[in-house]
Amino acid sequence: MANPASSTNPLQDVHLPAEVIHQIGQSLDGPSLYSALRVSQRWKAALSLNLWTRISALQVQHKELYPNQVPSSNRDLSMSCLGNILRMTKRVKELVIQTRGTESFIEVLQAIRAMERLQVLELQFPHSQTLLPLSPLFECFSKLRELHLRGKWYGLQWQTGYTELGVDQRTEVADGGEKGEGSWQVRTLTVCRADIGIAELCPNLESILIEHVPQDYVQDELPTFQVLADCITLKALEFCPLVDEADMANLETFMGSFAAVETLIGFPLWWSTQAEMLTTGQEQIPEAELEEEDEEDEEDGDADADAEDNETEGIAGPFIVLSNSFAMPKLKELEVTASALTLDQEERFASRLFFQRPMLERLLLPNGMHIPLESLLQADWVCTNLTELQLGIFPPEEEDDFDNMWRSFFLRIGRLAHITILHITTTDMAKEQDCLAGLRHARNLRELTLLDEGLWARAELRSLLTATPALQKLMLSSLSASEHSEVLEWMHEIGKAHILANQP
Amino acid sequence: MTVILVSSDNQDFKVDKEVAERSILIKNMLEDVGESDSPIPLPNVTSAVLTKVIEYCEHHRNDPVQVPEETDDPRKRSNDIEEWDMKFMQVDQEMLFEIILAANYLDIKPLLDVGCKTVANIIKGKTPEEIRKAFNIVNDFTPEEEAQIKKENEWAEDR
Repeated sequence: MANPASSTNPLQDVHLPAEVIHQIGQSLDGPSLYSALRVSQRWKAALSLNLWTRISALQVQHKELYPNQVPSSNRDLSMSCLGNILRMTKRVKELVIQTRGTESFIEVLQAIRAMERLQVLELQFPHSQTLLPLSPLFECFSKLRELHLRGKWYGLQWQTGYTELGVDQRTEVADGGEKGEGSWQVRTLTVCRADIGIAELCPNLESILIEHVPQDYVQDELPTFQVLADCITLKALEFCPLVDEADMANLETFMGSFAAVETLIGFPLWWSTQAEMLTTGQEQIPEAELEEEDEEDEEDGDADADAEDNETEGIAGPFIVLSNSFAMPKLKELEVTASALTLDQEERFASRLFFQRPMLERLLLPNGMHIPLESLLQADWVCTNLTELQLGIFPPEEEDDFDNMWRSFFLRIGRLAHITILHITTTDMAKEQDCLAGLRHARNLRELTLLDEGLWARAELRSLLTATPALQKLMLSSLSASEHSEVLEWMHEIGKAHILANQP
Repeated sequence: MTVILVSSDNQDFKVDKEVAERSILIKNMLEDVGESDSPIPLPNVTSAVLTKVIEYCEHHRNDPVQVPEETDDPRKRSNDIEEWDMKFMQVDQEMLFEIILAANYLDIKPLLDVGCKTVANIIKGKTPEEIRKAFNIVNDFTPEEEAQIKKENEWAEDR
């Protein structure tokens, strides 16, 4: 017998096509999806396609917050319960699991192995003192499109150096093939630095995120980056971020080999060699610049001389083995996280990116790196495909040229036809109408952050907003509560109050 | 260049071509007929709803066209609605459904997307009975069918 609900206007439901209900389901978490599924026959039919295609850690945690129930505790699912769930959900294509212990986790691993449709797997294991083995899952991994291993696992070299599971437990899970049959299908991979050797099993690897080695991870030697340099399909290289000096030196050795890499994220500039390799090739190293550096060494004091000597050695070293004109010649996306370069080196590095990297689409330089405005205006920018730019700028010292240079800078920004996100940090910026006018041509500019030490006057703000009609988000220098109210009031007058992202 | 859209209640709306072309349906129609001043009839959209749809398209006239990979992302979340869109969707439930239907008919994917996310936000945290009440939906399950669904998904209720 049907259970008719009290209804005054059932037409609303009748009119919603199945594909719309299905799309609504795509935005629901597991428990809400489960509720919606039990609403009516039509909703069940439309939403069944959404069901069991993805389980996330969040969803598992949400189980404790099931509708109509006040959560009694924040306990997680027990591993045995999770194992049962996974056995019931053979259709799952994406699975994210976070675990805090090894108790019964073997049951979960075995359940994962049986999930034949799985394409995306993320295993998070952040807290336990005991490392878990990966190799029993290799057969399952080999069929995945994406594999994310976060936290403490031990992978290819699991016999050495780690706290291990008990022998009995290890035997229980180790009946899977070590590497799986044939090559892996994985295209996107997240692994700990110690496990990058897994990339060797993935001939189609396109993107890799390399996480820190856990602090208590005991290992004498980390694998070199050779395995990634050999990966000819690798397009995206992301670090989380890279902080170890020996690692950076190792990466530098292979930088010239990443021919297909288009994305480099979490990259710190520790030595000038890395900067030079990204901006100048062997044939293009200006000898004059090298000589200049030698001269600088002689002029500097003793303390600086040793450091400068090392840099000069560094420049000479890797460049000798480089045969292409740039390291990573196809680079489209560069996110530098930190810099230990001198001001001169930073200036040369950043300005060359603008003058010599025509393929760049996204360039984020760290907040602490500031480039003199003059150096950015020395030549035409070739990076006209930029869509996102984050840049720190030293304002011009000459007062006579101050406005002219900023005007020229914003004109260049205006010529970036695809720029949508712009983040500028400086100490002093020209804000007059004619200086900002160049922005008018950046028709796709949606997000703008302008941080300097000065405040905006009402007329200046109006000029800025007139020049950027498509703007959807604006962040200005930090404002006090009273300044914020004032700016908000001005923007309200222009009908743009909703785009101000500053908080009072 | 402007085009004239005619709502189901015979009201004319003169809008810029680039605004009208946020609708893939209209864009395809314009490409099919070529240069023409003929009004475009939209028999499935009332003037009240068309007014809202045009307001949305005007606001988003400069947005880049969504690529299929973005629109088909199964992990889309309902809490990433832009502030303007959220305010735009603050309408009564009947209008919300009408906008969704119009977006579906006119093939305006970003509007359909934000409409569906708004409905998803209404659903979140509700029991099946509360969802039925919110949207005036009749429960047409038999008790046996309800028991079967519960059995299939019993882990979700196991605590």
